[in-house]
Amino acid sequence: MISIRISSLLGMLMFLAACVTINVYFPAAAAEQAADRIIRGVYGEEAGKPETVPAQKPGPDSLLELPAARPPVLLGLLEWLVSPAQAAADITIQTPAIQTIRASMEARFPELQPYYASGSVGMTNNGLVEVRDLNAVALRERKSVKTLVADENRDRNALYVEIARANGHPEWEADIRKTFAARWIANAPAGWWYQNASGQWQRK
Amino acid sequence: MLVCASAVAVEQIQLSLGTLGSGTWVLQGGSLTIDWSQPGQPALMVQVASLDVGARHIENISFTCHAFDLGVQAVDCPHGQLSLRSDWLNANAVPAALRYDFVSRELTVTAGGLALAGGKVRLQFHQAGGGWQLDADLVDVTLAGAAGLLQKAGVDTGGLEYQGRIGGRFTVQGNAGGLTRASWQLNTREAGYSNAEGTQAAEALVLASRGAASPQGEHWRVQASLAATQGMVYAEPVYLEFSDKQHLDLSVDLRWMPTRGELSVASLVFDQPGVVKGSLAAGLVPAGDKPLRKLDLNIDAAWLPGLYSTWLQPWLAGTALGKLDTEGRLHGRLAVRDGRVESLDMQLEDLSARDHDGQFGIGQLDGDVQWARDTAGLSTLAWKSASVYRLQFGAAKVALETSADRLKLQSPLMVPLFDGELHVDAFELDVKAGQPRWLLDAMLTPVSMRAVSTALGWPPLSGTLSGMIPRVRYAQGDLTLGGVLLVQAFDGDITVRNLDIRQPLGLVPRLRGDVRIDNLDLKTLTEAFSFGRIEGRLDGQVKDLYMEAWKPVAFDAAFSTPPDDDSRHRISQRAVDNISNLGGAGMAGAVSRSFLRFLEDFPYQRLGIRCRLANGVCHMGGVAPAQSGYYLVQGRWLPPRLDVIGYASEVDWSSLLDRLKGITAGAAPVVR
Repeated sequence: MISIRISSLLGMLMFLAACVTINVYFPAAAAEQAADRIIRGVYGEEAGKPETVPAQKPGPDSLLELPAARPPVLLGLLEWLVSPAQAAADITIQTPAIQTIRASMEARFPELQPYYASGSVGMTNNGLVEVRDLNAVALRERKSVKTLVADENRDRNALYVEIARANGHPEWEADIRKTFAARWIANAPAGWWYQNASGQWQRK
Repeated sequence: MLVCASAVAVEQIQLSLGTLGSGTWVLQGGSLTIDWSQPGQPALMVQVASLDVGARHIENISFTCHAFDLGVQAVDCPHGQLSLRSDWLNANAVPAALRYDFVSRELTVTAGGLALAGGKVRLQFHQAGGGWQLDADLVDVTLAGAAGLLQKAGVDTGGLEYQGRIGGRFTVQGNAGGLTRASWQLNTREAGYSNAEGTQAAEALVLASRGAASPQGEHWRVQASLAATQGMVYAEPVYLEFSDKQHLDLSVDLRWMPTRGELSVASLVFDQPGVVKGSLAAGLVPAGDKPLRKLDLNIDAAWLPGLYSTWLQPWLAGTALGKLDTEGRLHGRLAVRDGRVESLDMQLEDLSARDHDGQFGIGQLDGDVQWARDTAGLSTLAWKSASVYRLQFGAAKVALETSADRLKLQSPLMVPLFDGELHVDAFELDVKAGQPRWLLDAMLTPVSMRAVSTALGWPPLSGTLSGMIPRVRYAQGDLTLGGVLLVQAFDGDITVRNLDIRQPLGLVPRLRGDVRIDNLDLKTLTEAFSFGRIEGRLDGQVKDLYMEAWKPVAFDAAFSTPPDDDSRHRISQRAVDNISNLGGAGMAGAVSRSFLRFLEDFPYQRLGIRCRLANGVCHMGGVAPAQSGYYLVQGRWLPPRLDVIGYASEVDWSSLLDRLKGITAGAAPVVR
């Protein structure tokens, strides 16, 4: 009898613990703010008026995408278990790795800026950059624009991984990438090119 | 050939030529008419319904001549007019000449000023004794038009868009058996091309080419030269720019074997002044899974940075060697078999390379690099200087044994480092699946810390640095230390264990390790950092040190007076002030403002500090707990007793660093 009680108690605890883990949701609003801070640092004075991108809504929506993970029966219990401080988690971007990557991107931006402005380089819908139109680039610059784009993407990929890791949730990388993808575009000045959700190039 | 003559009228003779032809051309519906009906103005007319030369089809050829010479042997018209129509060549009464010898059956037709592909072409066709020759003199023909014509003829023009013009002479020779030789001497101006993606493009090209191609059985032999003297080419990822000084000259002798799909380059001589000069022989199977079957490359001379920026850098972009400043020369040979490098024999002269970010560099390297897949080789290298980060190494010579995928130090290497020497006892490198791994065993003889610290941009330190650097391994971007790194400095020992550096040359190197210090002399240490004099000894450790981009992110550090230390324990007024400042604001000069200012230094029993860094916060502690705080300095029982007590249990790491730099903030420790 005793052993059965213990195991059912354990099972319940494990079940609760599992629910709690799921509920550490991606702090989308904080991530958006963090992304804006980094992106404006990179764009510098070039940054345009930021827009709110309707596709990027904070927190609760992303939970609704996983209805099975949060059965309504447990709602009240979970809200009691998870302290508000945890739910309103902040996003840390103050690690040496993130700062180094930011500095590298900020230093590269003046070189990439003319290509963004001319439309030969555009922002992709997965948070990277891409050579849209190599024919618009002078022959002698094609080699360097390709290198710049490759280097920038290496930094951006590292940045998304690093932010997720610095915040103790490597699995957030995809969400962070998604947030950044929208914020790079939202913060860009008018005239730059970006890929919409279906992959088509559009001019902002 | 069928020639029928019939007199239609007294004043007119008409020869119906029926069908004429050789293996490569066919003429149909031809007639020769001589008309005397206009007195004093005889006319000779040649009319051809259709002429097919290979796949070319020409219709309605009409040649008219008013001043001609008709003899028994030949008809000769030097000043006639030609009209013809085809989808690629059109003429409307252009000046033309014709001569046909009835006996030898020798035919010469010349036509000038024909419109072809936006330019003009002068054609001369000559047939004699079973052989024929067509010369085409091209003037300002557009490349776009020429490419269009070639495309219509079924020639693959690479899906490119062309600009610019071409001129020169193109000659085709043949006989009844077909084409025997094609030769050319052509020049382009303002020529260019581009593919849709922009990955293959050229602009403003001035090219001069001459050459000849001839069939040999089923094969073709091509001998040609090409000189590029103006313009630019982008062939991803390589970019070339040509000028009178920076030209590119090529001459090639090759054999194309269409039945085998094989291209055999007997020799290709290249000369690109200031970049590279040499020759190669190659065997290619363009459609094969290993297109480069054989390559023997001979570099007579190559110059840096030309060779690096033009031919090497594009392929190295994104690697540690992607951004170098280079100079020097090299020459040598390279052999490739079945797509794989088989041997390399290179002589390096006065070669210097330096990474843009200053992470590594080598100066005035001379070397003889010998490597072969099948046999062991010996390479020698000698350099005047080398650097890793800010550490400057001196001149050294090294002999390396090489084999298929391995490289090994033949004998120990000694490299000067400041006033000491790095003795490399063993160094081995191997490449498995394109990934380099290496192993190093070294020892450092004493180097003055002053030189090291100055080079690293630290405050000048005294003492010496020396130590064992055992079993350093590098594999898959990860540098690890197998044994214990021992540094002797400040009269004590600093040992580093479990050292592991990921991506040491990457953007974000990550370092992990454990550091232990034993019996450091505080007097030497504090003098070095101008912290205020402290006498005594110090033990401590930094456990689980984790650094990103050489900046600490996490560690558990504790430093304190060794329990059995019986040396003199004194701490100066200034040191006390500085320790207080570390604790926070308001206490600057606390000691110097009190009655204690009369004492230059104080005895102490123990001192120590502890910081556990995590998430940007340093969890502080001291040498012993105090009431609601911790002792940073514990005084002697005998007066004047001085204790420094810290109260802040958590300190922001970046502000602690700022305080260390003299800025004060946060909760202050109390001096009593």
